[in-house]
Amino acid sequence: MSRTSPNIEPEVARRASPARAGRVGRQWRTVLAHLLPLALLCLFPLISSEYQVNLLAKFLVYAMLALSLDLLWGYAGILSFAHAVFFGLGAYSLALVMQYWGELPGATYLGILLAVALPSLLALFIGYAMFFRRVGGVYFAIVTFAVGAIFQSVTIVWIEFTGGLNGLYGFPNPKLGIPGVWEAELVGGPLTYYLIVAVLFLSLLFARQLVNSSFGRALRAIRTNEERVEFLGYNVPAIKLVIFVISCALAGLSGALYVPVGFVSAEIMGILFSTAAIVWVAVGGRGTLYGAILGALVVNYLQAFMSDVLVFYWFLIIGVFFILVVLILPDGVIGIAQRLYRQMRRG
Amino acid sequence: MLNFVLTSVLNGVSLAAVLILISLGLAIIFGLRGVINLAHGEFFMLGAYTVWVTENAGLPPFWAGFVLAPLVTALAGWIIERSFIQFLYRRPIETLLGTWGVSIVLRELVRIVIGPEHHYATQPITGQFELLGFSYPLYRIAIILFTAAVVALMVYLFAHTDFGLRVKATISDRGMAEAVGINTSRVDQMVFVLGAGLAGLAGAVMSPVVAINPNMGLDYFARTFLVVIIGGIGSMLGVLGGGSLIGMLEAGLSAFLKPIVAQVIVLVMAILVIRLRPQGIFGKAK
Repeated sequence: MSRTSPNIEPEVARRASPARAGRVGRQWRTVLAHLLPLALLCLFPLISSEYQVNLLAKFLVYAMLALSLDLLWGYAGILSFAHAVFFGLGAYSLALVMQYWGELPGATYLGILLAVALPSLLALFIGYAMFFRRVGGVYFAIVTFAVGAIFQSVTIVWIEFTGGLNGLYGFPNPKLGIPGVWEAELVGGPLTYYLIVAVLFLSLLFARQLVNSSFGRALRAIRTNEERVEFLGYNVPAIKLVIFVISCALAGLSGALYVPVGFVSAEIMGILFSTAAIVWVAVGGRGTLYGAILGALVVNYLQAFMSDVLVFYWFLIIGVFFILVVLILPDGVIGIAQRLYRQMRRG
Repeated sequence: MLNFVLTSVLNGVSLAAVLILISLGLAIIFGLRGVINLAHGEFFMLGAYTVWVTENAGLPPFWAGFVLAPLVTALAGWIIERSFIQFLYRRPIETLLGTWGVSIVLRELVRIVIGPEHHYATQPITGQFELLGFSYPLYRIAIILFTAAVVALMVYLFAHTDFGLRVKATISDRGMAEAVGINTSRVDQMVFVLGAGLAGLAGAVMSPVVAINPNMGLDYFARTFLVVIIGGIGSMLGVLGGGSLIGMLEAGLSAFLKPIVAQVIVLVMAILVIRLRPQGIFGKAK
């Protein structure tokens, strides 16, 4: 008996096992890979302080914003400098509804509805004007930049309504439940935290389904070569419009979730906040969904644990990050991890 | 009434002049390489700071800074172009992100080194222009005349000089331009430096009439975008037309509405213009 190569046994074993079993195994691994972090997130409030829970809740909201941006930028290749506007619109919708009609039964639901509807409508308006006129790429990005800049100044200047840079405070807390029967206030703490974890998890599942569907394949094809997709008979502007609206609706929803855990002020409408979201996605690795979530958590925890001296330089660091990411790490942390993993398997 | 109309018109023209001065550099760079330099507003800011710093250093008021500002920003532009933008020309979205990083870094450096306070440079030309009971600040009129001169110079530069010929050749067909011996990478460099210098010049011109602060570039920059979008990207005529239109419109609306409302109306209009004429009002259809 002669052995040609020491590696032959695993090779044979792999061939022998039916492909089906492999797929089932992989599915199990995927389920496990999702349930494990979810379980950890669910256990977190049991082992840590209320402050830590609220902090993580806020960062998970940011992660959801990053997720929505990744759908747009990572998959369809559409870069938006106005994503914070949609997030901010969502947050302001809920906060203002609570401020003016907070005592009415079911006001929270109206707020959440508006928090999704208004960003979607704005996205529909901008997207319809741009995509059907074949305005894309850099041109689209600078239009969103102008949109972001103007929304920012409006929010800062219109103090009677938005509270400007001081923000809104003192409005009744949003309540979930059945009005008049049983309602729970969302004021931070474990309940809000679990709600955010649940919505983020569902959004992630939704996003996964979306990008793995034929629609998702069309998105990636558009990112790679728009013209060719067009020649294949796809309605490229319509596809772009749909993903833009979905992404902005998700951003608006995350804005509504932000209300119980964060501070609603002009800052969350700003270009710099949009920039931060782009950084989260870029650092985590775009076009991976998980990278966006990871990036948001990593960058925000870095910022939270930084000493005051470094916080003074925070935006300088962000700027340098931006340049480095563009020049050296176009695929982010997940990209590096994947490269290392592939090298390890090969080597 | 007539005074009010005249003042509004002159306000519009002087705002238009500034916007044109800033937009020129942006549009030239876009026309040449199809990239947008998001740090362009920061060159404007650096120009204004140069004037303020030289003035405080005791150099002859204003004029020293005025000469120095475009040189300083041109140098900054050259460093940035050489250090990384030259590697990104083929990837417009990456250029956008990278230059946005530069923009943040420049803004933050100024904030950290000089501080976030507002500063004002002294006005070199004071006094009012008066005619038959109508008066208007002389310096504002000087801005309008100066912009006209710069635009004329640019037209001459691009239409009648060897440099302009090289730039136009590179824009219309890069490969062919290289084949006939034009160093296109050098053209890229020079155009970028020219654009940065123009933005610095605009900053110097505006330094006595606006609050100098680290974020001033951002304020003007968003409007500069609208100028190139409405006017039609990459053409001199587009910049002139777009700048005049936006300047007049904003000044006209500001006479009756809050400035911020005027800006919102201009933004919505810009989006509608794109819907109707994506090539811009003065651009040629493809």
